[in-house]
Amino acid sequence: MFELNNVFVKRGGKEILREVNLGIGFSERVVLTGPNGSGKTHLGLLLSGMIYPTEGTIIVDGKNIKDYELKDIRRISGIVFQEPEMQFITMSVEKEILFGLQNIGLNHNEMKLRAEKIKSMFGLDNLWNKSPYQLSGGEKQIVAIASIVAMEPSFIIFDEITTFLDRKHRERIYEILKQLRCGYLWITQDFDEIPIGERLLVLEDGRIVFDGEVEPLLKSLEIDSPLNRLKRLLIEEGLEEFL
Amino acid sequence: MISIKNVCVKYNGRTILDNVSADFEDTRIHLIVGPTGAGKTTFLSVIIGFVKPDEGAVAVPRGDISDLRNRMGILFQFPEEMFFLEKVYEEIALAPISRRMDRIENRVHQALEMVNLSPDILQASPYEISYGEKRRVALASILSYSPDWILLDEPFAGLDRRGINMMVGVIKNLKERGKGVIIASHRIEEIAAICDSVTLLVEGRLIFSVETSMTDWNEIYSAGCDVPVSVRFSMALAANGINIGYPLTIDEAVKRLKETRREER
Repeated sequence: MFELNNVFVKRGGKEILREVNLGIGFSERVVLTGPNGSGKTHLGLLLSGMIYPTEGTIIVDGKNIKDYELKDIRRISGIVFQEPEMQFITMSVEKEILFGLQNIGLNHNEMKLRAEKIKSMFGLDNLWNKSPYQLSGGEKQIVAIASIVAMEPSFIIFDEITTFLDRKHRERIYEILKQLRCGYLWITQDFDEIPIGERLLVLEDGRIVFDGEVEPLLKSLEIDSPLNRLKRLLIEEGLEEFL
Repeated sequence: MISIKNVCVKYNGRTILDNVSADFEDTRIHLIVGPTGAGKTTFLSVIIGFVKPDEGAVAVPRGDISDLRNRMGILFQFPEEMFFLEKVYEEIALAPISRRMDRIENRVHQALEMVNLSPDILQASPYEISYGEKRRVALASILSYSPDWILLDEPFAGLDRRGINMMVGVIKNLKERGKGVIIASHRIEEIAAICDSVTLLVEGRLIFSVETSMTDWNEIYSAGCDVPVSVRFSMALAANGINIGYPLTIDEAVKRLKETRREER
């Protein structure tokens, strides 16, 4: 698991994250939300070992995250970004999947087996030989996820990955999430995506201001999403039968 | 009015826009929707002249076509990533200065007012202001040369609730100031109720371009796009035999449902 102890991230005299104390298990499905500039992306980067805390420690499976080698971190936590092109390196979808596998030190046979498995799990047959840059926005994002899932990390961070996707592609990705065997941190601005997680974290101004279960929140209509506004108004107007 | 006539755009042997025709009236808010890869960004690029169509043309009556770049402004996705000057003032003043316009300071202040920002922000660095403010400064940096038309590509992407509401307010404001606005967005929850026309593009083809009240939201939903919650609700009601049309706000949906119930009794 990840244990964040009194973590601060400071940049140019500004505290981006402050006093963050958190434990997150590798199998947990966590949604992280909060306004722009509240520190969500930095928390995701911390958990993926891309940045280190300015103060405080992050202990991963009993060892300080700073003491891991990058390839070992990649086996523990993967990250998918909002703009998938940021993580493409090769010129075909197949090579993109293989590239990550090579980096975590798999041998040739293991790589081939793993790639075949991912190809069928994500339905990538038609895209396999295409350049990732030629794909549509939704396809790119699915390939980016596939290349991370292929490495079979214990935990994946998804940083607002549905921002540019239409409803159909978003729904496809939600289906893929359900198939994942690992836990994840799903960073989003969209309150409709809160049910993706079992646990909700809310950041405001660098601090965790909410940490709790999603289920009771969904029942209480407390989350200020358009759908909940509609439900609340129906109740107010005595139209509960249409909920 | 902007008239797009039989526009085709091909790229690397692929057809990005396929015989698209549409008219956009001045001083209105026009919404372009469509699934990812429908050609929305290319469509905006054709209108402003960044992409030359392989066939067809864009006609902008009243005026010289060479003047197009001064009469239109476009904001692509994440425009704030393009900031490179030290002060907000310099970012906003850049466009009118490079066009050798006069009264620069005046123009900067006017642009700032249109995006609901206070002059205090002018001396700040564009990197130290909030995310929502950055997006509005980027918009001010094209408003400062007073274009008649503003083209916005996914203006709500990455903004939080507050930022989105601010942006919607600014867009309404632009219309009141007599600007025409064309918005490509797949996020339409907040904008549907204030737009005057809706255009649906799917795989480069124009499915329809109609007044908002005539919009077939079912078609938009089937194309894989989002529709406002109020529309989703009315679709669910319709499946149960209750017709409230396509209300674009939650309040309107509930009001219409109440009326329908009253009539039944």
